[in-house]
Amino acid sequence: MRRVLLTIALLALSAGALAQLGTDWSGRLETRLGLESTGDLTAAGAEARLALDGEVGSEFFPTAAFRVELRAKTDAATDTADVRLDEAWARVFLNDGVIEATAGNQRHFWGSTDGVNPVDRLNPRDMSVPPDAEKLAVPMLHLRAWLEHDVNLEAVLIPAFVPSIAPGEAWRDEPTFASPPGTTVTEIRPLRDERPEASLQNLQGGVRVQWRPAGFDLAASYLYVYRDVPTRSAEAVPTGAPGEVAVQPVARYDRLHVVGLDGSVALGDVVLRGEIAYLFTDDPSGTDPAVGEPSFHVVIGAETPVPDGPRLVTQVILDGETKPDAPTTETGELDVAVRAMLVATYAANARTDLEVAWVHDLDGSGLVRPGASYTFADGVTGTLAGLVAYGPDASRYGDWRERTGAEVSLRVDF
Amino acid sequence: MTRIDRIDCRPAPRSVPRRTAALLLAGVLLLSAVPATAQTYETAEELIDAVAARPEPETLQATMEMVLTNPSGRTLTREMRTWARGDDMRVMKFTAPADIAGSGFLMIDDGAAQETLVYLPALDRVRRVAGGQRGESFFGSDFSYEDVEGIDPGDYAHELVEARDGPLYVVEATPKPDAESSYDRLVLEVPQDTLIPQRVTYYVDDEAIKVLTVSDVQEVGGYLLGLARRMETLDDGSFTMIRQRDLTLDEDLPDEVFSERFLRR
Repeated sequence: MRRVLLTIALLALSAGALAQLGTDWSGRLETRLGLESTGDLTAAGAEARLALDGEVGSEFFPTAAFRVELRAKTDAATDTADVRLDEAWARVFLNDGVIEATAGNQRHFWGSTDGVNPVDRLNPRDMSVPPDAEKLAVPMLHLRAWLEHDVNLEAVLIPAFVPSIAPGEAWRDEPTFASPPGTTVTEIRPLRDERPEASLQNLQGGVRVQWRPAGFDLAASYLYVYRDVPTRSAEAVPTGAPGEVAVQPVARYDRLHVVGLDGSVALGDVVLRGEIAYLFTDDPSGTDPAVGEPSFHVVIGAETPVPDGPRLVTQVILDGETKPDAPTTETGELDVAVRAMLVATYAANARTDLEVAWVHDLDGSGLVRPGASYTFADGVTGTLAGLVAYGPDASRYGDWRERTGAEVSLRVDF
Repeated sequence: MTRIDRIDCRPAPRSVPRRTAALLLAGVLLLSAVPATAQTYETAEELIDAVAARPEPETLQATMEMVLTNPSGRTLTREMRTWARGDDMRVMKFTAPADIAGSGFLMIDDGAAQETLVYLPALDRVRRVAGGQRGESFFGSDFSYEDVEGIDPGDYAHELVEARDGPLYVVEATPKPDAESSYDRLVLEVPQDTLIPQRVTYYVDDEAIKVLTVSDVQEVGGYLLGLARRMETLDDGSFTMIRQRDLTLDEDLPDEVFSERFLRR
């Protein structure tokens, strides 16, 4: 991978091309403070980003481009600090830009709907403080071809698996473990993380073809990836002493096939968007308890403006999963969860934007996220955001009730 | 048909139309002195046809500075590049400030349908703008998407309200029933010498809500252009000023410029 990146970079930065090289520095400084209703801090830190973008070639379609972004972050509330290379890629434009080939750390977005994109499993996410889930840039080779008749084709190859960053302890549900009859648990061992190694047989990839004529767009996609969030299980391991077992938690990353369809259409004042994804593993019959079950996900949404009011996005989200084999359930029985989402955004004036997002699950739980941002000056933005969770225990969002709180941030883009 | 009042510059004729010239010449021959207020256009249709028939560059490229001023006088500044071919294909891409740089806007009108797409780099998505969203603010400014797209005279019925000294024509434009407009009517003030609407008042529910003022009229590349446009929202006094510079006219623009590919680039 590194060799491919280097080759493309060298091609892009050949002596002749350097004469036409244009570069642009940009960055961001941000500081955040988050407080839960319990009085605990969820965030008290700062982040700095510095990016260098460059292009070689003509004004309209360059022959090559690159981007390198460094991010440094520290947070006293979670006692974390890290410096990492975020996006770092080189791109060549072939055949007058009809084909774009990009290698390096990248993030891409597939799908059509807002916030919830079941067809998109390209990048892992940073889920350390849910419900935020920013995509992480990871090494990949990305090809895009702009074909005739408003068709564009994407192909992605991901050479090394990178899992999502798991939710912090406060947000995590630990797997329950029932010890075998007649045994006593004497030890809980450290998690055994069985993440796939970088190898030819563990390659991930996918293709997407999109047709975007005037008025609507439609895309079909297929991904062969690893589940970025592990399927957790716990095994009982005899310790050698009679009647005693150790618990061995295991995190496995299932091979996943994702077949997707998404699109949008403008009908008068309304834009309709939708996505359908079917996910199945290499254990489609669901006989291996350590492998996740096949599932389907449907998102249907509509976006419309209210005259002199906010822009509304409404979505219905269906998540269906076949239940695993169990004495009390029939094989293949479907467990369907239904959520509704409403997002209202309103630009009160050139400086003030208001937004509220509400997700309600039919299990009676939900999340409300109000937010307001104000632009103090060019590139200087302050944001106040809240999170309210409700619902019974053991419901989708009910266990997050204590996480109800607010966060204030100040951001400078330059 | 030529759009008028869009935020990029509209050309005026390098010379008056032939029919108008003939009339003026006849007037000069018949009268010892031509009144300064000689009125050439008797009906709104004549005037709008003349406005729409102004010669214009095949293509336009320009840098635009957009200054948003709130009611207390504080400003925000955005900068963008724009590329246009005729009236029906236009791309705008923000270059500053950093938090919106890379955002872009593409409008294509193929005669049968108009499509507006917006690219937001933070989401890496190209989003479709539906008809009802055309009345929304264009990136926080006092211009709406509809204002940016321009006014197709064919979508409006016109009535000449009065001809003032100058002469300056006052024309009322009412959207036709099938026109997708967020306004109930517009009142345009068009000076005869430039045929560039210098002031447009936008009405909703019989109330004036915004006023567009065109200024800094200059000849560039043989075309008479209004290089500054100020849109004021009347209820709070906020306004947005757009100034154009670094204009390149009549230079070939490839078809691919007016595409999602270029919007994302």
